Order: sequence, then C-alpha cells, then structure tokens
Amino acid sequence: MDGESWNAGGAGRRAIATPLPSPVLELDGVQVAYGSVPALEGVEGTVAAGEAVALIGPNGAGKSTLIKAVLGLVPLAGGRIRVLGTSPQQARREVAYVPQQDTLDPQFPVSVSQVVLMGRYRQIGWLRRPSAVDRQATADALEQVGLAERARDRFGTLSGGQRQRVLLARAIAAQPRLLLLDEPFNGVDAVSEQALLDAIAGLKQSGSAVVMATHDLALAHLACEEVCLLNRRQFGFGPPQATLTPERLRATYGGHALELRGDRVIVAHA
Amino acid sequence: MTPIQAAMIEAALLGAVGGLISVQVVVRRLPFFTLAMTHATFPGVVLAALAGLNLYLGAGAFGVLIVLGVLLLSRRPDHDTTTAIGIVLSGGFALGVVLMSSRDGFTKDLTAYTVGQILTVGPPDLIAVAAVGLLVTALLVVAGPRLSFRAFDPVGYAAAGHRPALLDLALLLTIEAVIVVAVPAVGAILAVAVLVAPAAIARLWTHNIVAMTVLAVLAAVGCGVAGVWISTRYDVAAGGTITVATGVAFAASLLATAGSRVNLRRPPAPSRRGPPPRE
Amino acid sequence: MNAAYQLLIEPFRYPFMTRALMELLMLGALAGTVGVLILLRRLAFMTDALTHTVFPGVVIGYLLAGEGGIFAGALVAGMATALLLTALTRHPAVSEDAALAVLLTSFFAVGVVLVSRESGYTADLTAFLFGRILTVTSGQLVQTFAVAGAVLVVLAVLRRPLLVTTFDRIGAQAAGYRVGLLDLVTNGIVALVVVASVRAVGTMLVIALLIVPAATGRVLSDRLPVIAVAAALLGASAGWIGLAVSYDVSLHHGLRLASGATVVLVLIAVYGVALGGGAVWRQLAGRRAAHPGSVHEASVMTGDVGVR
Repeated sequence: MDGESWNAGGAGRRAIATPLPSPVLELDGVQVAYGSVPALEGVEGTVAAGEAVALIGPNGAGKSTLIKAVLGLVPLAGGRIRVLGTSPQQARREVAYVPQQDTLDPQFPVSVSQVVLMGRYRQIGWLRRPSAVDRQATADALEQVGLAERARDRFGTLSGGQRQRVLLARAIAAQPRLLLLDEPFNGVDAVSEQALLDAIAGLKQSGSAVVMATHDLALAHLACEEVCLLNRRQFGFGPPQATLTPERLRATYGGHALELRGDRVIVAHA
Repeated sequence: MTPIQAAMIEAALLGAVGGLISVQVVVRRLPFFTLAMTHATFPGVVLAALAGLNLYLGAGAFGVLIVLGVLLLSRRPDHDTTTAIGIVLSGGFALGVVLMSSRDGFTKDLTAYTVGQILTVGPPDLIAVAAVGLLVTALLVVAGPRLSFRAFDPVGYAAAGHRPALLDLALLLTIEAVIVVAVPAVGAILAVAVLVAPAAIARLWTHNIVAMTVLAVLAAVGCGVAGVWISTRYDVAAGGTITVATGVAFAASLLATAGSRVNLRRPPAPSRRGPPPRE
Repeated sequence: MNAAYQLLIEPFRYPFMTRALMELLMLGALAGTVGVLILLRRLAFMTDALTHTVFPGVVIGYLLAGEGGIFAGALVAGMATALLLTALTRHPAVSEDAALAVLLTSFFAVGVVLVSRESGYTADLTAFLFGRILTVTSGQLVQTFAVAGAVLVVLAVLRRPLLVTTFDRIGAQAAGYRVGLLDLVTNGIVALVVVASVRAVGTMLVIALLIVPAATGRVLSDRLPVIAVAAALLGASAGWIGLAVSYDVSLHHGLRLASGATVVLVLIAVYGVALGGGAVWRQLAGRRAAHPGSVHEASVMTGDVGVR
C-alpha cells in the first residue's frame, strides 16, 4: 500500500524477525457522535512510542473531539481506541494533555513552578507534601522548555507563547507515555515555538508518543512522523510527504483557502 | 382614584416598562449588575430623604454616579467583574442601612425599601413611571438595531465605527432609571424580578427579538396586575405576590414549552470573552 | 492607648457582647477563607442568589420551630436552590444568570409573602435580613464552630483538586478529576457558610463577608496562601472593629449604628485602602506591570459575569 500505510517511519515493510513493540495509541474504526449527530467516523491509525502524529483539518473537523475521545472524555459510537493496550480511562495515568493557554485566567494567583507542579499531583496525591523527586521533576521540566528563570513569577505575567510552554512543562513533569496537544502553536511567538518543538522532540526521544492537533502544515511536516487528515471523517493517515498531497488536502478542506508557510500556498476553489 | 386602582395602574405601567427593558437585561447578561444597582441606589434614596429632596431625583442622581463607578471599577484588568459588582452591591446597601439606622423608624423604612409599597403610590409616582417609560421606548426605537448589533457582534460593531462605550452607557443609565422608579413600588430585590423575569419567560417561547419583547411586556403586565389583586385579596405584600407571579409564570412556561422545537436549539450567545468556541 | 482599649476591649466585658464577638470572629474567618474559593471560581452571583433563596427557608423554619428551626429551614432551601439551579442551567433557552435572577427573586418573594402574613412584619423582616448578632447563644456558637471546623477540614483535604479544577477546568477533566463533583462540593460549602451566617449577620450582609475580604486579599498579594490567610484575618478583624465601633458610636455618641452594616463598611473601607495603597506601592516599588496582554475586555458589558 502507498501513502495509507500505517507502519511507522517511511517506505517499505519491516522484516518480521524483530517483533514490533505494541503501539502507544491504536485507533480502530473510531466513531463519535453527539446525540444523533455524527462528529467523527472512520478514524484509523496507530502511533508508536517515540512518534508524533499531527491531526490536521479545518475548524469543526473533529480534532478536539478525537483528542477528547483518546482521553476517554467522550464515549465512542463505534470502533475502538486502545491506549497502551487498555481503555483510555484506565491509561489516564500515563497520558498528559496540553490545552491552549488562552483558556486560562491570566489573573489567577499561581506561580509558574506551581503550575508545573500540578502535573505531579497525581503522583503526590491529596495530602502528602511534594518530595525532592517531585521538585526535581518540576525543575527539569521547566528547564526543558527553557523557562527555569521564570519559575517564581506569576503565571499570568508571561507571554502567551511562554504560558503555552509552561503548560507543556506541566505535562512533561507528569512523565507521560502519551502526550496530547490541542493547537499548541496558535498565536505563539517564534522563540516559544522553537522551544516547544525542542521540548516535544526531547519527549519523543525518551519514548513518549505525541498527538497534536494543528493548523500548521509546515510544522506538521517538520515535527511529525505521520499526519491524520480529518474533516468529520478521515481523509488520510500516514507520513506527511505521502499524505499531504494537494488532492487530499483539497478533499479534506472542502474547497476552502489554505495557508502554508514557506513557498507553497494552496487555494482551492469551491 | 382608590389606592388599589393606583396600584394596579402602577403595576401595569411598571410591567410594560420593565418588560421592555428586560429583553436587553437578559440578552446582555446584566441580571447581576441590575441586582447590584438596586442595592447600590439605596443610599441615594436615603440621602435624598435626609436632605428633603425629591426621592426620584435624589436616587436618580446617585444612580448615575453608581453606574459610572461600576463601569470604571470593572475596567480594571486585574479585577473580575463579578467581584466588582458584589463589592458595590454590599457596600452600597450597607451605606444605606447605616445612614438609615441613624434615624428613627429604621425598620419600617428599610422594609419599604426592600419590599416596596405599591399600595401607597399616587399620581406623582405614576407620572414618574410613565416618564421613564417614554425614555425606554425612545432608547429602543432609536438604538434598537444597534443594541442588537452590539450584543451579538461587539467586534464588528466597533469595527464599523460605532462607539460601544456610548451605547453601553446609554443602556445602563436607562436601566438605572427603570430601577429608580421600580424600587419604591416593589422594593430593591423584587425590582430585579420585573427587570429580568419577563424576558426570561418570553425567551422560552421564542427567539425572535420583537416577539420576545411583546411577550415580555404582556407577561410583566399580567403578573403585575394579578399580583396586586392577590395581594389585596389575601392581605399580603404586593411586591411579593407580583414576584411570585413571575416565578409561577416562568415555571409554567418551562413546563408548557418542554420538548418544543424552540427549546432544542441553543440561541446564539452574545460574544463571550476569549476565542470563539472550537468544534 | 486608653482610647483603643476603651473602643476595642471594654465593650466585651458584657457576656452578650463577648458571644457576639466570638460569633463574628468565627464567621469572619470562615467566610473570608471560603470567599477565596468564591473569588477564584467567580461564584459571586450564585452566592448572592443563595443569600436570598435561603430566606423563605429561614421564615418557614422559624414559623414551624422557632429559633431552632432557622438553620434547618435555611439548609433545606439552600439544597433546593442548588438542585433547581443545576437543572435550570441545563435548559438550552435559559441563560445561567437569568435563571439565578428568577430563582433568587421568586424564592425571596415567597419569604416576603409569608412574613407579611404575620403581624410584627417589619421587625421580623429586619431580623431575617440583618441578623441578630447581639442575641447569639452559646448553643449557636458551638454550631458555628462545628460548621467552620468541618468546612476548613474539607477545604484542606481537597485543596489540590480544587486548585487544579479551578485553574484549568479542561486540563483537570483530561487528567481525570471529577470536576462536576467538585463543583457540587464547592457550591455545597458556600451554601453551608451562608446558612451558618444567616442567624447572626442576616442574609443581606453575608455576601459582603464572603466577597470583600477575599477581594482585598487578592489586591494585597499574588500568592494564594497569603490571600487566604489575609482574607480570614480581615474578615475576623472587621467583625471585631465593626462591632466595637457600632457599640461605641451608639452608646457614647448617640448615633445608632446597625452593627452588621458597620462591619460591612469597615470591610469596604479596608478594601478601598488596599486598592489605593496597592497603587501607590506599585508606583514606589517600580514593580513589573501586572497587566500583561489581558486576553479580553474585562468589563460589565461583555456579560462576563462568570456564572457556572
């Protein structure tokens, strides 16, 4: 099969001698509906450890819905989702989510390091004091996104891009095996964007899988091994080179204009 | 005319005026603000009484100050609106209570302010309500479409070159004017019922602004007159019965429209803070 | 110094004043602390609605069982409010603030109608609205202490989940926190504090105790533990000072000042000083501006009343 191959990392089939490690995320004929209104159908694919997949599609395509389904927050109308071999609800401890920073109140009286520490709360529990291990994980996570020197500042005093990085650090501190990001690069400055990319790359290297919803096709090319084209149903799942073809993009976006950073702009006519 | 007749006319007039403005109050998410204004206007009434001024003018003048104060306070970026409103509400009311408690006959006046005295209204009160009614009508006729525009697309409204702040000020001052005439009749807390419930009831039946307005006025007038009648029949506080009537009308409408097509679709909300909703 | 003693200590040699003071200290500290939760979760309107909706419960409780029935009546009314509110906000054609307003006014009106049927209408109404701090009994003190203790324990145990769900609701949901349940717990705590305060300070003044100390704390500090402690201290001290001042002025200067209202004015005066002082402090200390690109126009007119 060509671009619709599920297998990770490029052309050709693997030799069967080495068994593949089981994928971190498996999507099998996933269908989500709100009441009787279908929101998503026919989503299939796998994500292996150390890999990133970009969810690409217009607004309202179902990217956030899919993420919520992987988190176990919306029930499936059909198909199956397996996270680390079990149901999304049971795998929650190993999964971390990074929301968009603009959903948060900039006046909230909490410091940057406190936000990151929140990522450890599941390990710490309700009553125990944070241990040295927790504090180290927090410091390391902040280091990874390049914001260690802002640890004691109030979260809201940072710029949008910096806040997004802090939210990523919060996820990193939880040491997840699957990381889900919802439009992490929206409205983010260039410095923060680079820092986010570096941190995500670092996570992948230590074996986590990454799923990110994004509009930015160039970044998807750069950062992800695979892309998933969505617009209420799946229009493709595979390596960017093979999947982000003009025909598929046009089909996914249904005749809307697209921006691509760099030298290619696709304008599809209705 | 007898007191009861005067009370009925007052209730009807107030219902009409309240019903008209209630649509704006509900659509612009102003019920809490309205509640705060009814409390914060209270010191103005007391001060006017202490100074021997006409109560409506005194309360009105004070009301203008309060509106400006709340607008200014709520523009502080590190201050959320609900807190600002809550502070104005409690502060204003406490100030009024303190001023009032320094006089004798404290409890009776306070009760009058809290629950109103519609059965003691006379021609001057009716004229005041009618005057405010003209003001409200003028506002809605002149600025009705703009108010809708501003409610549903504030960014577009400003981009089209209008001044949102001016329109907002006009609206808030008009609401304050209605409060000033409603409070002596039905009291501070229950005035909110006249200014909110009619539109809340109407909205259960229709989403069309014009139809909503007509329905709101009818509901308000109906509840007002019915409330006065029940109050005289059973010898209970009129402000209370009018409000209970609105509550009953609301509950009845909820039941009557349950499952109807109008209510299966959520009406478009006026712009909320933050980015537009994602999928 | 003698004047301060005269004002702040002397009145409390009377047992009834001491009891009043104890009650206000406890309620002030409790309300101040819970007020931080209300501030951060933007629950001011719901709280205000609660102070009005418990009123018929207070009246009915009193009519059925005298003084002892007030607490139970208020509690029932509070629960009914919480349930109705939850049901109403699910309705697609009812906005949350319109629902609160209708609930608030209807319930309160029922209370008003009931009270007006009884004779001695105005005095009773005043007592319900403004409380009777000067007739607090030892039994009530014990009750208040129990409520305060229970609430503070719950807040201490749930502090992390509450922090996470308040700061980032979506993220908390994703992490598996039961946000709906925590909402219910929070609303329940607020309702309980309102009910506990009704007898002493009345429905009209509870809202001030719940909102103003926390708001003042927020002006004074950016750090949550500091804000909470400041709010508790402010609430308690305002109770003390307000009670003392109203006693002093009423007795020695012939001007009768309602004690509850005086407490509120003290709270607001402190808040005003904090606002002014904060502005001056920022100028002098040349602190980094505290308004980074605020995402939204935080004004009354955007309808951001933050009702949940």
